[in-house]
Order: sequence, then C-alpha cells, then structure tokens
Amino acid sequence: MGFSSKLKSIHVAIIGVVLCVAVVVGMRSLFIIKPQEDKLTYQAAYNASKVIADKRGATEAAMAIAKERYRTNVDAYERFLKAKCPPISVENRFGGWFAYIQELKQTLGPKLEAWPTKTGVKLLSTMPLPAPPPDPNGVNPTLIVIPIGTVNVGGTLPQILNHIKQWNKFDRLVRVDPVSIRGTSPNLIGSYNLTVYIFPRGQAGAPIGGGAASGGRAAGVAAVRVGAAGGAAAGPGADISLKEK
Amino acid sequence: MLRINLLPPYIYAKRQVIKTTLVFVAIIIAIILFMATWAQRLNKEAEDWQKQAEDMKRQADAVLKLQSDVTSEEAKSPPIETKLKFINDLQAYNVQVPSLYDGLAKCTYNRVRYTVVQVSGSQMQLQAHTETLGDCARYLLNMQRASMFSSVTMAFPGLTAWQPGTPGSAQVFPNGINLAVNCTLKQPISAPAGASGVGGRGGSGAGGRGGAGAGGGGAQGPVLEKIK
Repeated sequence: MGFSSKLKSIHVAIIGVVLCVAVVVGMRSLFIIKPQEDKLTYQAAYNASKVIADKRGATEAAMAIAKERYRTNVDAYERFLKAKCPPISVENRFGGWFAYIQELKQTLGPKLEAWPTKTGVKLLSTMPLPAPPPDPNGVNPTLIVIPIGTVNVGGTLPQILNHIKQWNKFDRLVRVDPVSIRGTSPNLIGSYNLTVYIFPRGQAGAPIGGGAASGGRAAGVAAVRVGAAGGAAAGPGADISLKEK
Repeated sequence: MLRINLLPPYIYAKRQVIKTTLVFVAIIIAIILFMATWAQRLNKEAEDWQKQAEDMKRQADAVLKLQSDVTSEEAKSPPIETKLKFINDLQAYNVQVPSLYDGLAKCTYNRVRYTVVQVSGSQMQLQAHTETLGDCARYLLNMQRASMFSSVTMAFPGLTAWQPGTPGSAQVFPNGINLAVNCTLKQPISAPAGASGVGGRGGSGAGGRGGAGAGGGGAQGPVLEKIK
C-alpha cells in the first residue's frame, strides 16, 4: 500500500487550501501589489499636477493684469519722458554726455531764465547751471540731478504763489523747495531752491575706458550760465531711445 | 428492490481523493485566472493613470512656466513705478507750500501784517505785526483754530523791560506789536524719497532770508495781503 493510498480527502483538502492561499499570496505579491502602488502613485501625481493646472485661468488673468500694468506704466513713463526729459541716452556714453552738454548750454538755461517772466513774476537773481561732468562716465545713468541754487523772484503774493505752482508745467521735472517770502506788498520777494531732474534713457552702456581721454576735452568746459550764448554745441547727437529697456 | 452496498469504504476513498484533488486544481486555476485578469486590469489602469499624470504634468509645467513669466512680468513694473511715484511725489511737493500759504491767508485776521513767512519741515515761522493786543488775540485764536496746524506758539520779540527811573508810558505798545509766530504743521513738508539724498540738499535751504523788510513794517499796508 503506497503513500497515495494513505492520502485521504481531508488531507487533499488541507493541501488544496494551503496551495490556494499560497497562490493568492504569491500572485498578489508578484502581480497585484506593484500595479496597485503604481496606480496610487500616478493618481497622486495626477492630483498634484491638477491642482497646479487648475490655476491656469487665474494665472492667465494675472499675466494679463501684469502686462496691462506694465504697459500702463510704460505709457505713462514715456509720456513723461517725451514731455519733460531731453533725449539723453546713456547707452552710448559719449553720445549721452554730448547730449547732456547740449541740454545745459542750449536748452535748459534759456528755458529756465524765461520761465519766471512767463509765469508773471520778475526774476531777481541769476540761475547758474553747474558745469557738465568732465568725464563721459560721470553722467549718472539713473537720474541726472542739476542743482540750480537759490532763485529770487519778485511780485505780489498771488503772482509768486502762482509762479511756484506753474513750475509743474515747466518743460523739465523740477523740485521747488519751500518758498520763503519777505518784503512789503506788493513788492514781495520769493526765494526758493530749485533743482532740475532728468531721467536718461536706455541702459547704461559700457564705461569709456580710462576716462583720461575725455579729461583734456572737459577741462575747458566751464560752468554754464543762463543767458550765455549757446555756442557750438558739443559733438554728435545722442543715441536716442524712447523705449525703456 | 432493496440494494445493499456491502463494499468497505476504502474502496471509494481513492475516487474521493481524486475528486477533491480535481476540485482544488480547478479552484487554483480559477484563482490564477482571476488574479491574472485582475493584475492585467490593474496594469492597464496604472498605464492609463500614468498617461493622464504625464499629460497633467505637462499642463502643470505649462502653468508653472506661465507663473514664472507672470513673476518676471510683474517684476518689470516696480522700477518704473518707483520713478513715476517719485515724479508724482515731486510734483505734489512743489505745490504743497503754495497751498499752505493759501490756507494761511484764509485764517489770517485782516489787521495782521506779515513781514517774513517761511517753512521748514514741520515748522512754519512767521514774523507779523499788529496794532493792538486785541488784534493779536483774535489772530492767535484764528490760527489755533486752523486745521493745518497742530500747535501755534507766539512770542513778542520787541518787548523790553521797564527801566527804573523812567516815567510810565501811556501805551504799553506805542508802535504796535511785533510777533514771532511758530506753527507746527500737521502734515510736514518733506521732499519725496529719492531726492532728499541728492547732493545733500534737503529742507528749505537758503539761509539769510529772514529779516529783510521786517523793520519797515510801520503803518504800510499789509505785507502779505489776503489773497481772496
């Protein structure tokens, strides 16, 4: 009588159940768990990406707002540049320097001198303009500040106050420090400090090497006074760029 | 008819074992088929999710790039806005003092004459002349009511002490009253940021302007006439 003859149904059942469990466990380990984990991983990745992708509309709206804001600012700034700033570009240092000298000698001085009379007061002082920088690299690429000094004007109080207010309509951006008033009406004297600001255009170009090359040329540039003849303006015109880089 | 099975049970045991074995073999095959099908379905689902996740990731990457573009686009505005703010602040600063003087004229009692008016930061210094102490009091009351000042102080620089041995004067202020008025502004006048550091020029600047014409007040008309 062999082994098989001793095998009973109950034994076969037990072995069968064990085999079933082993097959289930083995197949699950080999073929089920990994795809399940992959599926969960991809679902999580999908959900995470979806959270970001769902912001597309809001992001596009933000982009439109940012572009509009930038365009509005650029428009306003370019309007200001056209109205109040001479075309001094610092992309070309020499060009910007020459344009600045031209501005001081030919344009700004006469305009400043004429403005008090145009606005109804009498200019009682001179408006000396500072000498241009002796070096082309000396032009401030961010903001050119031209201190004019103390200005004295004569007139009645309304005339003087109106004159002060009118500075905002001047062709250049100016800063008028608090005016002090003295004298006897109607012959009052208003005194204030005046500063002119010019925003150069473009990105600052590479500095001119050494700086010594321009030194000799600049040595002859004296302080420019209002009313001084414009004279032969310096050099070639500036490289003009209206677009803010 | 009665049938009686007289065979011993072990005769059927082998057949029973075979049946049981076949049943379990069938069960195992079924399990294998089921598990294989399940695995195949899971693999397919995983592949689908992978494709969807990759597709969604591309969309998310596009949105992230867009967000980055938005950030760089937004970063372009502040430098220009700083310039525009400086320009606007400067133009507002330029008209602050004329507006202040307009306000001063409105709250100035009409029997007061100014000889010097100047503004520096949060202070407005005035030199004025009145004929009587009553005018002076009315003027002070008006000034203290003015909304643009947080405080108004007044001094009488011309007053001198009585000297022993001199006769008493009929009038305390025979030549009128000279006043030095110091007003603190509620809104100080300050140059816009960005300009104050330029060349060290801040505040109201030039000195030496006070006093001119102050002594000449006398009985002339108001030095700083009422504007309106």
